[in-house]
Amino acid sequence: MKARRIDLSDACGVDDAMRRIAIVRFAEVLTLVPALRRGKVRDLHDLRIACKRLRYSLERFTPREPALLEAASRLSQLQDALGDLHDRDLLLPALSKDLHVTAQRIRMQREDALARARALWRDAFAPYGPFEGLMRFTGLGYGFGDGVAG
Amino acid sequence: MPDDRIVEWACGLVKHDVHTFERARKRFLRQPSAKRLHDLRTSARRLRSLHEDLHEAIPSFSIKRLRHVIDLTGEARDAEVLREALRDALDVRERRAARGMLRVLRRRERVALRLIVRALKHMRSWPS
Repeated sequence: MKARRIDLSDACGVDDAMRRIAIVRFAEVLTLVPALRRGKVRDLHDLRIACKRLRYSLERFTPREPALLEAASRLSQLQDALGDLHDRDLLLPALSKDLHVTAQRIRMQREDALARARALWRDAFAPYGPFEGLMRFTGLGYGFGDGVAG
Repeated sequence: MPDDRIVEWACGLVKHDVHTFERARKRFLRQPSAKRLHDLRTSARRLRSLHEDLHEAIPSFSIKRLRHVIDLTGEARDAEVLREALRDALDVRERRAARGMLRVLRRRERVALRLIVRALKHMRSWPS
């Protein structure tokens, strides 16, 4: 999924520019997060890329906005879980039929990675949780922790 | 065009990310390894992400060449990670059946690494 363009032509200073970027990138993640419930390969891949984009942006902002550090760290964990899942999604269709026990193990690892990603997402929205600073900074994400990734 | 404070801030970020990319490129060329490949790929992706976020405020640089590096490193990284994931999950009774696939992945990784080295050697410094 291509990154959305961000208009900074009328942004007032660096803090405003950072906020505009964070809003767009966080909105991209929130739009794609139903993938965690559906579990479809392509959607999960798009979500992983969106998490990565948001994380890179936030890591750039943390020297000026340390409250975003926890969200960046949680996104990194989420990205790891989604990355493990993605690797299994790439590997499974490439396996020969002779490797059925191995394939079964890989499917289980995939399910574990998906469960891990769901838990990391849900927990991020807890009161004073890792996304608290990001939600306050962008004004987005309130009410997103409940049931979305369940 | 964004205001001067944003441009100044964005240029500082580009300078930092370009420096990180260049350092990763040189380190990888000196002695290619999985870790150095990862660092190179990450620094290229960060630079691309910076371009996506702040393209209006930064001096233009060749995003096409950056994409080429990301694609090449992706091929090597995929082959390496798939090989590791397969070895990790492999049932002992199916070792023999997996040999062919492990060999193919290893070959894919080697070919991709050679292509990366060739592409990076011919690349001028960033940005251009």
